[in-house]
Amino acid sequence: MSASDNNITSDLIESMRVNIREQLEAESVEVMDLSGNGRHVAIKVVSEKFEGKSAVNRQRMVYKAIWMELQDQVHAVNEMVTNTPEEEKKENP
Amino acid sequence: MRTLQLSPSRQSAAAANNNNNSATKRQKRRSVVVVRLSARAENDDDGMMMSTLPLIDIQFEGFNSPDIPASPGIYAIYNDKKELQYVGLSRKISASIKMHCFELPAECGFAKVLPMEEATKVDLQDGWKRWVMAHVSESGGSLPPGNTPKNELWADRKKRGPSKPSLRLTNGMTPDMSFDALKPKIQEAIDEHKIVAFIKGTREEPECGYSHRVVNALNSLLLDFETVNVLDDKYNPNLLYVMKEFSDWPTIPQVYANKEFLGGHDIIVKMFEKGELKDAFK
Repeated sequence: MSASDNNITSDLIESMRVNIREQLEAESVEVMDLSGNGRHVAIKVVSEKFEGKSAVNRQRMVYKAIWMELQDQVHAVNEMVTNTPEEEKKENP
Repeated sequence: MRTLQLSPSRQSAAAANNNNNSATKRQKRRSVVVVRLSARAENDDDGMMMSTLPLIDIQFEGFNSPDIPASPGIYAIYNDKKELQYVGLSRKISASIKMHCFELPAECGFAKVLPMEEATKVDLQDGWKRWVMAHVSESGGSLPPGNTPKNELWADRKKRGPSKPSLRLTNGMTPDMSFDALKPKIQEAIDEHKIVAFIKGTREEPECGYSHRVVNALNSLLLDFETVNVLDDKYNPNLLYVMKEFSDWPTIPQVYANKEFLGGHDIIVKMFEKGELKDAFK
């Protein structure tokens, strides 16, 4: 991958991170590029906004925040973890 | 806060992995061998042939590599640490490798291929045996993990669920149908059938690993379900795009149960692994 491709990918990852953090008012967001070109990513989000929401609806909220990126640049979100702050404390005390 | 905990295979996929095991160190000391692609692999050369063939990256969408031919021949699959997992023979190498990548994504990091265009079944079996024996000698007596007698994970899964044609949303005569005109047809399919999986490809020939694994999960629960091929532009014009709007969900596969959106690959597979999936369809 060329230096400019690397920049494009890291911009993409960063924009996803920012979009998720802002739209979900997230306590924390991690976006990891798995394939080296942004086409496969793993995402973890901790947000109070997940409280009371089903797994499907939580994922939907995250997807909506990165809808544009998913249209052509990101091929798949291979893994997604969506926790409320309370759930996060339980998993990672 | 602890960082994202990925499964071990994803961790090494995320970081470039250049581990050298003893086999590759040995390979570097050998002289260069010219690889002849003939129907009958030479006895002496087989162990060397296998170790001098290049590793082809098959992670993520790598199985589509032009270096993987559609011809008959033999192949070897390595995990992302470049450890041999399986040696196989095939009438169509590209189809076999694609299926392994769909079924066992965590084990499929790299591949080596030896096309044998004019090969008979005996030629293929002989070549396969020699590659397996080459590994047995090198490893001090072990078979590749996927080739051990009890391991069924790599076998050609002809035993899929009962075959069923995909649902078609239109009669195939309206390729210019608008998104809005297709949506009621989607609704009809969801209303009339208990379980509908919108996938890329068909249940017999999925086009993507995620769709394939969702079909596998449903099949293994012996459920009766319908599939709709979002890539069939003749009968389901633009369904790939319309489905995203319809469900407000940006990816395929999508599974509907009892007229409700149940989830995509991630959710369906997680429910399946937790033993919750069958209940979701009651």
